[in-house]
Amino acid sequence: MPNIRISLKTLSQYVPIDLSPGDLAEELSFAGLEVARIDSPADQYQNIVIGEVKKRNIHPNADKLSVCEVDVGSESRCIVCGAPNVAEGQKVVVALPGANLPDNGNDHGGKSFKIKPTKIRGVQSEGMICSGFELKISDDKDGIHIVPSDVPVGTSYAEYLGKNDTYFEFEITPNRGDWLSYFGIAREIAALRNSSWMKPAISFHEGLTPIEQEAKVSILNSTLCRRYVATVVRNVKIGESPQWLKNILESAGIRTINNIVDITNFVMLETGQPLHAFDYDLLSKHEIIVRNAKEGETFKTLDGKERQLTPEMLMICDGVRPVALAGIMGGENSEIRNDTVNILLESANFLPQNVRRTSKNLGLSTESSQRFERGVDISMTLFAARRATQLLCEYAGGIAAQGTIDVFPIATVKQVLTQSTERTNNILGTVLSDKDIREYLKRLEFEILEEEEGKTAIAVPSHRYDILSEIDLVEEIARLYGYNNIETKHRAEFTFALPAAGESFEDELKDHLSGAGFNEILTFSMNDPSFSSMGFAPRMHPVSVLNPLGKELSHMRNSLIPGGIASIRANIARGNRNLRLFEIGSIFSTSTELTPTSLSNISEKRLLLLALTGYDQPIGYGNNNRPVDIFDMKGVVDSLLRKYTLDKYSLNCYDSESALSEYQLSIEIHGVTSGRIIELTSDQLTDYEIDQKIIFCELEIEPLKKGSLREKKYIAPSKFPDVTRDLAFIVENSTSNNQVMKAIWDSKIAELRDVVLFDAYSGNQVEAGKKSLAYTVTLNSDRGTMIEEEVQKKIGFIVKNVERECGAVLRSTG
Amino acid sequence: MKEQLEELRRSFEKETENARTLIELESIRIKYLSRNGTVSAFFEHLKNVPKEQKPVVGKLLNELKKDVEERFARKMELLKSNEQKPKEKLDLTLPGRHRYTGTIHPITQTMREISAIFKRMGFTTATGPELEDDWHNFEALNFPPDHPARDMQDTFFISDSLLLRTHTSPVQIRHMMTHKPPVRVIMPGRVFRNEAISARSHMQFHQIEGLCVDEHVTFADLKGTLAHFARQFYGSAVKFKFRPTFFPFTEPSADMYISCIICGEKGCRICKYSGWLEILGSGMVHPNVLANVGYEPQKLTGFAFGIGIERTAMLKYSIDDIRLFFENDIRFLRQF
Repeated sequence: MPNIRISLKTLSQYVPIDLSPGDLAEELSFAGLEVARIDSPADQYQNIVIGEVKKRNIHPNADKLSVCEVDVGSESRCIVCGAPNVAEGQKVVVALPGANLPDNGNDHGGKSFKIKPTKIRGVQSEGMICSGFELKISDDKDGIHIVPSDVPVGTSYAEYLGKNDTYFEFEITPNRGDWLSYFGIAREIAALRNSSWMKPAISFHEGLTPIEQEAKVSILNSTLCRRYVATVVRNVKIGESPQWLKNILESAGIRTINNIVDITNFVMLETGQPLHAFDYDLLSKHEIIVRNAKEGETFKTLDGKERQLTPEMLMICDGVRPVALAGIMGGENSEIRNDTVNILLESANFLPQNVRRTSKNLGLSTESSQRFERGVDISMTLFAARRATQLLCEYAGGIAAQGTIDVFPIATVKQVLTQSTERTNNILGTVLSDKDIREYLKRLEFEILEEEEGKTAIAVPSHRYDILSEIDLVEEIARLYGYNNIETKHRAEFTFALPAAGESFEDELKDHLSGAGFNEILTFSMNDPSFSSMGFAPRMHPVSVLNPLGKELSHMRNSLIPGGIASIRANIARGNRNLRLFEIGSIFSTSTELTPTSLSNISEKRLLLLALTGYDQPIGYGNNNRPVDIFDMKGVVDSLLRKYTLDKYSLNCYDSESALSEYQLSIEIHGVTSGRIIELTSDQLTDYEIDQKIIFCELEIEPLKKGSLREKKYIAPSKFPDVTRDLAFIVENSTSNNQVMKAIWDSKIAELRDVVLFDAYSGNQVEAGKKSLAYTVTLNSDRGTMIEEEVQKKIGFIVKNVERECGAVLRSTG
Repeated sequence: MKEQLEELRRSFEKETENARTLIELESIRIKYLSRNGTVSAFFEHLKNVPKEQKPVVGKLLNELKKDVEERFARKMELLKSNEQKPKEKLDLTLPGRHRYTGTIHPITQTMREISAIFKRMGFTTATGPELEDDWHNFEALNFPPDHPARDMQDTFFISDSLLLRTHTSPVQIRHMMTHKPPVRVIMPGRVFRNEAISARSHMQFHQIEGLCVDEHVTFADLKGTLAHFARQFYGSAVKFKFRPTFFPFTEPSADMYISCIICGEKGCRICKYSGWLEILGSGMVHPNVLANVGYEPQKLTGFAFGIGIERTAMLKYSIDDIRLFFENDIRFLRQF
């Protein structure tokens, strides 16, 4: 957002200011014209005034000191002074008690210095006569600073310096280009305070040569250039601007260049109309042609840069070549130089959208382009040209040609809107009358065209580019009425709405995981392209950002694992090695290798990441710590899946040759691959400079959410006690737990309720090449307590099936 | 005889009652219940009772014996349990066996707290994609093409037409396109701005968007709803005010300020010495936005608001650097 810094003293020339700066800032801010900063340079010069040395006597106790009687306006002060050059009749700068002299970097250890009444060698001194060094305006330490004799006694030093002013820095919203000027702010104050503002009167002496003989202007594209006003001023003297003008420009952060350019910039600040001054003698044929750039044309702007033009850009040209980028910047070939004598002044109105496009495409934003983009008042074009011409005559000694050229091909049509009082009240919750509404609109310079009961037809003033429909007027009325005067209604009537199914599922999941000892993390949605091979969906392509902050943030993440690695790395670097982390976030991929152009090319998925590293339990008394392994993760995932999807999932191991993981399990829910458990390889760990195992799990949220929404139906638990038996089988090493489990379940025992592996052993106790797997099986019958014979029979079936299916031998039962 | 028995009962009861130690109790046992004790003496005496009275006295005597024995056993139990047993020495200052404690990220916690307030006011929740198209993120929200309003939100682009959403407002569009009015919904989510990462600004952050569209919804309802939110979230004593501002998708638009919760309006670094903190942006839904989603702008009105979560959490927890939220330092996370 552009800011504008203005001087209150200057502002008061256009509108009466009857509030303190603080109150004015508050009132403006609460009308939407935000004052971001107030500063008063004068504050640092408080209690420093101009005085006159009336009498000077030698100090009774010190030859080198003088005792002076100094008139400071309201009274006389006795001041002891050590400077040799002090003399009666001098006008000097006096720091009275309470003054803070600026830090001069030397005398007072770099701190500002507060003046107090003091006794110096037995004589009371009520202040200090300042040297240039003490005022921080020169290096002269020995003598006091003497000011011209015509400065009245008692004048504040700030006023003497011309710094007795307060500055407001406004933050201007993009809809209000009209506020980017003194006129605009004065107009707003007048509307808010119900007073009036005024433009300066213009009068200057015109020469005898009619302007038509001096120059010619033609507009070839009247859509992009809606008005062009030109004046010619001859015989100007290039020089420095007067101090007041320099002060205004400097306070607005605009560099002063010379009187000509400074005047155009000042009038832009004053009126909001950007102006450009050409060296008249450098314009071929003394002609201005406004046209589109030609294909392949180039142009050197006055910042010295060669610009490549395209045909949609609008150019100001002379008889043969471009001389300015319309509304943005002039060219080197026609700029004001130290030897410029005659000037052609441009005041024009360009289409906002076109200026913005050109400015964006060239990457060139100026005070001028910022105003044109937001819309410049088309009724100001002529006034601003004449105002600048007046100042050129006044401060550059020029002679204006007679008249002005004003090319205005298509007369603007005033926008007419109708305001309904009822609608206004219905939107604001107010009870404003027709009269109230008209009053506010009038104060804002809307022209009332027709008044009917409940309806007001108005014409929008030409400076308001933001008023397009009735609703915009409602805001204007609300601003003037005051947002804080509108009722705060503490009662609401609303229709009951059904929440979307599963709207709080992620929250539920987060609670479950934090209960399971996981800390939630949030990582970047973008990462380095080198991570893209980790993608969750291997057949999809990563999505890249056209204008990233840097290469390391140039790809949209296609997995949450890279963020997990970064978080683990950062924590380990700070000595925190035992981590259980989780994140829920979106990953992105695209089905096309080309730049995706539609959302249908994009896949955006919610994913859960779990990360385990370090010890399985916190280090501490009573915990036998061991490093986590993939089975810790499996356990967490198992319980999670069981919670949300009952038994409709499986964790499948594939022999992976992948360089991406040491071990990998694929998670299937209802037969669809929905996640993975991965242990990073030692090569990866080396790359990331991590010296401990990391296990990740990535899991899609959607199937879990679906599982959580399943209908839950009660199954009556058996009234009879469970019977458990432990079975240990000897199997070949190559036989997996899954195979044995499957064989147990496949024995089709109706009473089988649960099977849990409680021990897996290979070693001295079993034959080489074999291992022992021990299970607890739980049986239960709904019909009655199972008797031993029945249990034996069922267990027998199980054992037989395992022996047959897995080549197992029963080692023991119990 | 009967009186004598009652006398015995009374003295036994009294003595038993007064017994303080097992040793004292033992002497009572010896006195009354031992072979040479008083009770036995009465049984001895029974021999001399006339035959016809024997059953009655015998019964009395048996009852007495039973009562006395029971009372004695109870007292014995009591004294035994009071007696100091030598205990196994346990150092109870040893720590418990710890398990990892999980935490919910402060951003999530702040979002939940805000959501909960609006849910109690009848709002439901909706979400939308983080990767959006220009239409949902800008055009439908009344950002004119080639207008400086687009500069308010520096955008990460994927292509000419695709981008990372710069605010949660596109979810408003998505929700209204798929739901008939009235709607009353909050939309939490992650958003992106192409801004350098510093202590005060980040390229990614979170927002909660709110939207209420119905017949007869006014600016006064907007103020009431948001004032209620502010009082619940920041405390009932908080003062508030609204300031005109500009958003393309609301008209009138308003920033909401609350009295500074850090300094209590005195002025501090956090409120930039103004005594007031900006907490959210809001406004009445622009009729163009309603028309863009196929709602009738002449019939319906509504308000919308957006709350920055990071900023809110920073205020709430006195966090001075936004980057902490995404560094995931476990020592930071464990504090929430």
